[in-house]
Amino acid sequence: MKNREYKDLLFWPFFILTSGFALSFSAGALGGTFFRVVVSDMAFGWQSTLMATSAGVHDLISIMAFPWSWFMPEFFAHPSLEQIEGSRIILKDGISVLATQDLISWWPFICLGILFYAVIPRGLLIIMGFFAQRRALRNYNFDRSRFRQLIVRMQSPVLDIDAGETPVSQAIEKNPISQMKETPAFKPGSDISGQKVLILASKNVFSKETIKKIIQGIEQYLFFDVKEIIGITFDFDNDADAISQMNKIDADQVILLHEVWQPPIRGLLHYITQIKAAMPDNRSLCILLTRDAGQKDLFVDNNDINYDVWKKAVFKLENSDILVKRFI
Amino acid sequence: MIPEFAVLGHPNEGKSSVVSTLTEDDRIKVSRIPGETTVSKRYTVTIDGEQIIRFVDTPGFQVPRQTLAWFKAFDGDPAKIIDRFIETHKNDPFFADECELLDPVAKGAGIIYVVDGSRPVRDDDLAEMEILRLTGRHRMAIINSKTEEKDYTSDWQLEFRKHFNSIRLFNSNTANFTERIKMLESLKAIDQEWEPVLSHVILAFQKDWQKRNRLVTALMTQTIEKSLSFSVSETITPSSDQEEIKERLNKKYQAHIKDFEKQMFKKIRALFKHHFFEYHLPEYSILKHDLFSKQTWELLGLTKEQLATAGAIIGGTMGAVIDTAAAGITFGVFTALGGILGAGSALFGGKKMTEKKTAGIRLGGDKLKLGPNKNLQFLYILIDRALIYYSHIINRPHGRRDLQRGSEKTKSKKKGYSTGFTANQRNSCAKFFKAVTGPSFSRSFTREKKAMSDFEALIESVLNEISSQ
Repeated sequence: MKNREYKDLLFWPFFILTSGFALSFSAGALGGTFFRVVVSDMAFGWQSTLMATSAGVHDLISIMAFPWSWFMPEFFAHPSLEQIEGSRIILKDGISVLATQDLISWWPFICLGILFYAVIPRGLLIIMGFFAQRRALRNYNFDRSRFRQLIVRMQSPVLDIDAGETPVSQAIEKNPISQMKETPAFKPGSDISGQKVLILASKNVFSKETIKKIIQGIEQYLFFDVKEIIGITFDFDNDADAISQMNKIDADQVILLHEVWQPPIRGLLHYITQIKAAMPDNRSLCILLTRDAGQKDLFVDNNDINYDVWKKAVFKLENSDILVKRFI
Repeated sequence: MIPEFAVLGHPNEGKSSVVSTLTEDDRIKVSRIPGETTVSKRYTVTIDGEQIIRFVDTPGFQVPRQTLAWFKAFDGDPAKIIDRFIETHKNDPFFADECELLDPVAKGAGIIYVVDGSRPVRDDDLAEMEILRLTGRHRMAIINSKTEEKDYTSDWQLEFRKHFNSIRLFNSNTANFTERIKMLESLKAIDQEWEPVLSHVILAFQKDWQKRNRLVTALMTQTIEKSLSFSVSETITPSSDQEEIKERLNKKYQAHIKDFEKQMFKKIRALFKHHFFEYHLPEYSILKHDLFSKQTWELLGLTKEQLATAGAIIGGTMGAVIDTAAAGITFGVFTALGGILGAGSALFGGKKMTEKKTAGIRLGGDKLKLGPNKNLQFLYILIDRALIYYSHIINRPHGRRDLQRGSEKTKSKKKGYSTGFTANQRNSCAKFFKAVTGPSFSRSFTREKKAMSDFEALIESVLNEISSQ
């Protein structure tokens, strides 16, 4: 099927090309002959070993000149019988005995012969080739899906994305979270159980009921003795009173409640280190992570990716008195 | 100057995912670990090299409260507040992320503030919104719900009304082309000056989508044509085990058809710019089943009767033809191959016929030929599978990285699209089938051309319908 389709498409360009070459060659021959006729003294004659008569030659060239002789003067279309007779070359006599008029009478015939038998037919063949090629192209099914893809691509604009980055800050650090090593998991154990603790929590986030639930969990499962709950805003300046109050209460450690899904951004970690710095050295700070405070279930799964992120972030603080723990 | 939009927000809210979906670029790194983006990255959409729109993926706010405190304390020219902020803090690592994220805004970018609607509003978010308000720049908010477990959309909307010109729900994990266009439409609300340019951008996206549909149409037609007209053959000798050859041919035939389909899927995926992330088909998808499995045919809506008729395809693909090359005669006896899954006695009947006809005349030049497939149902199966794959791909947002199985939007598509074809559409399919599988000498060029173009028009209309859903 493909052979059938492609045959015409491939044949006519080749035909046009070869015809073009032949036309050029013929036109060159015609031009060359004409040029030589103009710039040099050329003698045209005829001879034959056979016993050809001038009348026979005349008849022959009359037939040959038929395509143009009907509209051209006879003297131009082909040599007359007399001129043919006068331009016959006999080997033993040479051409010196022949009349110049007869010898030059041939050139229009020769040029017209090249024109009508070589140049014009080639030209016609080329025109025909072009028409045939056009017809082949017109009849060819370029709507076929295998061409359509190429045509659509070539005829439509290309939509693309260029990506680039130009850092603005001169102090960009690698992501403080993902670049850290694995931290050892915090294990709730006997070393902290039974201790007196106070809780820091945002009252906008953790409602009274939620805090109550968390305290129950802390006391029941971790055996901590919760002494006080202090509301904070996570703004160190705003929390000056809360921090002062925190330092007045006798407690072994401070628990800071936070939702696990909130990423430990630099500002938050900074606040945590500020809180720790404001505490007496013998107190540790434990960040207790819960799920969304608005949910019934506050337990954080050990495989929670956010918990992992928090562990890594707190580890980066390089302060062994700041611990991170999930609510269980 | 082209419209530029900076996508800002708290870490881990899905900013990169939103940019990835909007620009259809799955090369954008999307991570579940917050703070992965530390430098603003510009993604410029170009048409023939001409830039038309730019989205900037920025790092998340790291110190919103401290930044807000500085903004509130600033007593200079309010129009220069961001420039002054960057100038003051560009060497301070503490404010590095804020400098990065505010830089495109300082350069005139519109603000798209992204939040995760599945989590509640917190004080840090309020601080961020206030910072953006203080910049005095045009801004819109996007609620991009990352999970469906909880929904705090109404809380966010309440807060947004105080701080933003425009609010939009846009889920980068489920957004399809229509939603992307709607999103771009709403960007016009950020700044009226960008309206004509954004209209041009939207038109360019729509034209590009049409172009892709035309390309998919051509690709599907080409693949289906190739599959339907495909055949395999093998020379048989008197000593050959015909059954073994049949089985081998059958395997070869099926492997080729499956490969054609696989290549087509790969190209469709590339056309819709899913380069990096392997698309996992949903478990329920028909495409999970083998092209030649009985389940595929049943799920695509063939009745039991049709299945029996198509049994040759299911079990043994189609009839095998013995060509006696030496005599130049085609016996044209269809042998139902295999009967692996079986289509009843018809298969075996055919087999007997073949054996009977060919008995004693096996010459050296005999050829056993399998294909082209003569069962019209096979065309519908190929169409359905291609359309279902297309539907999965166009509904897969580029910002999605969880590799979950498929999208909700295609879940109900148990049956194939071809079951809903009208009589005219089925007629187009039948003509196309005849044009492709009929003997070449009996084909009319004009009829064939018309059948092809009608079939392409049908496929394109179905693609347009699927993508507009």
